[in-house]
Amino acid sequence: MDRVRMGIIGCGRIADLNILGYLDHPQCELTAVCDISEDLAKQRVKQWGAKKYYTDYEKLLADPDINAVEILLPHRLHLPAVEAAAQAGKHISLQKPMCSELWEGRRMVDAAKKAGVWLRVTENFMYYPPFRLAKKWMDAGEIGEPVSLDIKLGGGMGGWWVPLKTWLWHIDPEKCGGTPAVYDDGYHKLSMAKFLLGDIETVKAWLDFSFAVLDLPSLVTWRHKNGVLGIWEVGLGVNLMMNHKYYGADEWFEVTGTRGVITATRCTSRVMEIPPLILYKDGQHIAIDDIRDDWGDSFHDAAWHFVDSLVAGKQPDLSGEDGLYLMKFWKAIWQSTCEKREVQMEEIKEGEAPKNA
Amino acid sequence: MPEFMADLVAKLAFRFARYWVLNRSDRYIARSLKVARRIVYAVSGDETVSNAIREMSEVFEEGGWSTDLVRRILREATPEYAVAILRSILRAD
Repeated sequence: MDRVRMGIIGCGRIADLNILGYLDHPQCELTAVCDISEDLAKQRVKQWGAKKYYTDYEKLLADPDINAVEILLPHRLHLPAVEAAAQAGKHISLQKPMCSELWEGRRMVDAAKKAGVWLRVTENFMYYPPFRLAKKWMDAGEIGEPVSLDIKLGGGMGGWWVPLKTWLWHIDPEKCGGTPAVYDDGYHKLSMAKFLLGDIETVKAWLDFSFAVLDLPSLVTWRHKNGVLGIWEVGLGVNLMMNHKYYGADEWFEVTGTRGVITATRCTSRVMEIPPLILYKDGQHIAIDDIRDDWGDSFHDAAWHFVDSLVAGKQPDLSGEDGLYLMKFWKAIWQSTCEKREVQMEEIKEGEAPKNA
Repeated sequence: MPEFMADLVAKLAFRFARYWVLNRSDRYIARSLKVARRIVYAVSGDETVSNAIREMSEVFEEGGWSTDLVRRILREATPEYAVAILRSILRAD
């Protein structure tokens, strides 16, 4: 493939970010957009310069001008949309989290494999430039052998406008397919844990709930197969106003090694006005200030990676299998919370689809 | 208005709103919000507030799972949290 002709399915709030890299990649053109709201679809055509719009994704998938799609639909619609896209022969970038049930994820992976198309589950944190540099440092042994990973998520007020209906389905466990903080937003953190330190062996978690539906504050701990320990603290500041243009949340990542520490922050928000990446080793601080550190950059680079991979004819990172693995990580967290015990990853089975599915 | 007074008004308004939402039908609330929106817009001309009320009236007009969820949250919400959410919704961006 020498050119990616992209169709965007779902033009809601997050599309503002997912679209960024598709608009300026020299080997990508935005062929069509699709949204159930015709007004929104028309608005996006104008805003992004797409050639056409649809209000029914089946029609977009039947369009022979399109060879790849970005699916940005509510989670419960992922399975039918991915299966239809695969059947139509389109390469697929699917918004995280992949699925609610593991059998759904397996069906998506199988559908893509059978159709001979690439499936990747989009997760932008992995492309945040400070995190990529942190990973490079770790691989180069700058902090010695990693010992522990600390992640902190602070949820608060503020951020950009999100339609009320969108918020409501995100925080309704039945519509969302899981909990809003640890499952939905948490996918990014689980993905980062795997990206930085590899596969997980065992999980122990405590999810508390506020206001009936918000899984905040919570605490998730785990051990990687290489022995590194991970801890993720999910906090909620009821009156904590976050100062940023995206969502009202902020993250802090710290990897401690046998001879140094890497701290990365400022991804979603800017609670800490410190350099986005700091390396401490041999008694010295190395602070990296001159690096792209806007959250939008991570979405931009995720889109570029997808296009570059399709042009090169290879599987993009964050494959369907990776997406399924992260869903197993989530299931282990949930099981640990419900059963109040440590859960081994190998206990998590994909299970069979219900007969009527 | 001093901040403590604004907080007090918001907390009282929240208690009233919670009672009202928990004890009235979706259709009644949707109709009332539409009227409230017109009044607020006529008096203040503020589009942010007007749009926020419009979104809420649309949710109640549609009813079903989303208003069930709103009521579940309201049963557990504290006035302090509601004030924070209101501040968040009504911010200018």
